[in-house]
Amino acid sequence: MITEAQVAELYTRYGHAIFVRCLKLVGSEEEARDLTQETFFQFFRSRGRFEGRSSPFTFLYRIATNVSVDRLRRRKTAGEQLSTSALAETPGSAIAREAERKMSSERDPGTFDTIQTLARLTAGLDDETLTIAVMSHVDGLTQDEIAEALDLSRRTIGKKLKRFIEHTRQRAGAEQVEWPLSGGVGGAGPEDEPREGRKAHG
Amino acid sequence: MAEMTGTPATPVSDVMLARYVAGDLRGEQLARVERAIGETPGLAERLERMKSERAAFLGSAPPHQFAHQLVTRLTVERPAPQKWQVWWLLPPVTVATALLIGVVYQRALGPQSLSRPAVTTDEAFELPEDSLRGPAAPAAAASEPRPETKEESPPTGTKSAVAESVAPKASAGASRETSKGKGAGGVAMRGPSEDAVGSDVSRRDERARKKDSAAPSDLASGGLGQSAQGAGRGGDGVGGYAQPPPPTQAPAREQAPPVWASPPPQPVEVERRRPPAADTQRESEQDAAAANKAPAPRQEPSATAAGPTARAEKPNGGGRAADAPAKLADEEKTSARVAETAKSSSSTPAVADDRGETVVSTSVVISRDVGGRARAVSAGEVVPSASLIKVVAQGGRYVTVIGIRRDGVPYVYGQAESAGGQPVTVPMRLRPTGARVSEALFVVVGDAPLVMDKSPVGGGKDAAQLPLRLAVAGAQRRFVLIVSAAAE
Repeated sequence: MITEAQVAELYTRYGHAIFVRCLKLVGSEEEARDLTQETFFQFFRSRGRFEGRSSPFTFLYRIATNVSVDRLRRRKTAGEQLSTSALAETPGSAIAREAERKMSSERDPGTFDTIQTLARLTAGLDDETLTIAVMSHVDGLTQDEIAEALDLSRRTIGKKLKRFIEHTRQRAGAEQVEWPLSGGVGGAGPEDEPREGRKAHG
Repeated sequence: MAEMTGTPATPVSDVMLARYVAGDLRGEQLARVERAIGETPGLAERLERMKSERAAFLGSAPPHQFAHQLVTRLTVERPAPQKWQVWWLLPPVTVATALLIGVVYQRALGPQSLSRPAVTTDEAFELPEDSLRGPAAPAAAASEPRPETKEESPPTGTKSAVAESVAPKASAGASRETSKGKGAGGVAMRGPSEDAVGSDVSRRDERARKKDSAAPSDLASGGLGQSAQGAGRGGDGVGGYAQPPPPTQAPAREQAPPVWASPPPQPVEVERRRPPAADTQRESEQDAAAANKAPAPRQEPSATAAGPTARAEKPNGGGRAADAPAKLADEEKTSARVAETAKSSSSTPAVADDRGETVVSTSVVISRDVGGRARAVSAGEVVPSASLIKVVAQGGRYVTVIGIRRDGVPYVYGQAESAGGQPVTVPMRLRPTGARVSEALFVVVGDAPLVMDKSPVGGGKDAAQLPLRLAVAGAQRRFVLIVSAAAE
């Protein structure tokens, strides 16, 4: 039986980090709070999968990424896509403004134009692969940073990213959309391979 | 949030910084982050900002409030079943639903349900072994096939016409009387007990009589036909198949069985002789009907003469009988004709039992088969299943008719007890329509009730050719007869 004390302890430690993660992906504070609760809800409902083998943070982080991307997939109208105005209106959120700036003008050529595109192309991926892909192509983290943050080996990160690329390429071909990682549908190039050691900060 | 704040690249990502703030780092990771914080002024600034934002966040969304909401939600919302779980549930749910529908459907249709396999009626006809022992045997014969009518006992001084026709000691005079329709015998189907057949049967036979009245030679004058005029107690009871009656009369049954289709087993009544007065009166009626073809003034049998199931006691049946005297006369003639046929039949002679003794005489009369005919049956003849048959036998106190199931297991069709050494009639009905296999009938006559061993004696149609290895008590004499019921 889950007690409120257990929930409160975990929320105190990781609640803010999860909220920030959700906010960055969905761009709405209200939605981010809702997704934060959803993240903790799924965590406690699927505790059996956690098994304590890693830090609760990594598990929560994966869940938060997944529920956020899933929320993005459900958005149907263009107005519901990542809204810079919504980000700007986030109360007291300098983080949101910085995210808006980054996503609108400073995005690397290899990253997705929108998180919405990523959300659509990553449908069907497992939570872990999706999280790694988002951390790599949206957050701009290197494989080493991802491996460190998620307590995974770098080799695992590489495999997951490779799988992610194959998956999105197939999806892009099926949907006849431009494959965002190489500038063409089904195209392949140096950008296909996960970047190593690239610093995404700034 | 280094990547968001635009600060120079640091070896510590925001994720690691968040883990550091949350106290989630251990060992080498913790040492590396702390070292980076100490070496990188910007990182320390980011750390402070993150801590302040975290405090603000927890202030706006208190942990206890969040925890309460989450626990409430966890309590209310159960995990939805996965799709595979739903699919796994489908087959058993489907099967259970089908079974339930089948049970309800079968119960709604009752014993006439088409889904009821015909072969299972064998079990329905079987009697417990114990039920055939001792005086209670006739009563226990309730699980036997329902006989159509109860055979009327012959007049005093005469034997059953059919029985006499095949018995070595049969007298010519008696046969003559039978040919004139005077002998009640196995085919003179009017009697106090058969009069009380149920109203359903009566209505059916009434229609049959109307149809056959134009062709008297084919008239079905079996017990059913007569029963239409009979009156059981209450007017619609089935007479003649109740528990072992007192010496003078048999109580009528209260409910009429369904006609021709898997009837509930009825007990076989031990035949009793009628008082002479009733027989005499009956003979005179038959004579009058046969000779004059005119409705002789018919005197309803008194309760004393014909027992409690007499026509006079049936309010409806009596009136109908009174309205159709000509029809009644035709039936009488037909009965006489059948009796004559049975008498002249030589194919059902006395049969030597397995010990070589010629001890019994027997005859078989179809009181009504599924085609509506009443006639004598020859030994070895194949008759339609579901035929109503009367086996008349003499030579022992107890007469039992046994059928052999396809798997060789014998079962009792009917049993009757003789009174005073008179011929015994065992009314019975072959397996109902829908039977899949032929079956042989055996008649066992003895001075003690049959105790039957249900071990298989032989299989199928060849059973009649096999020694009848029935465990018969005492001085039972057994022999193999007669008819086999062909599937319709």
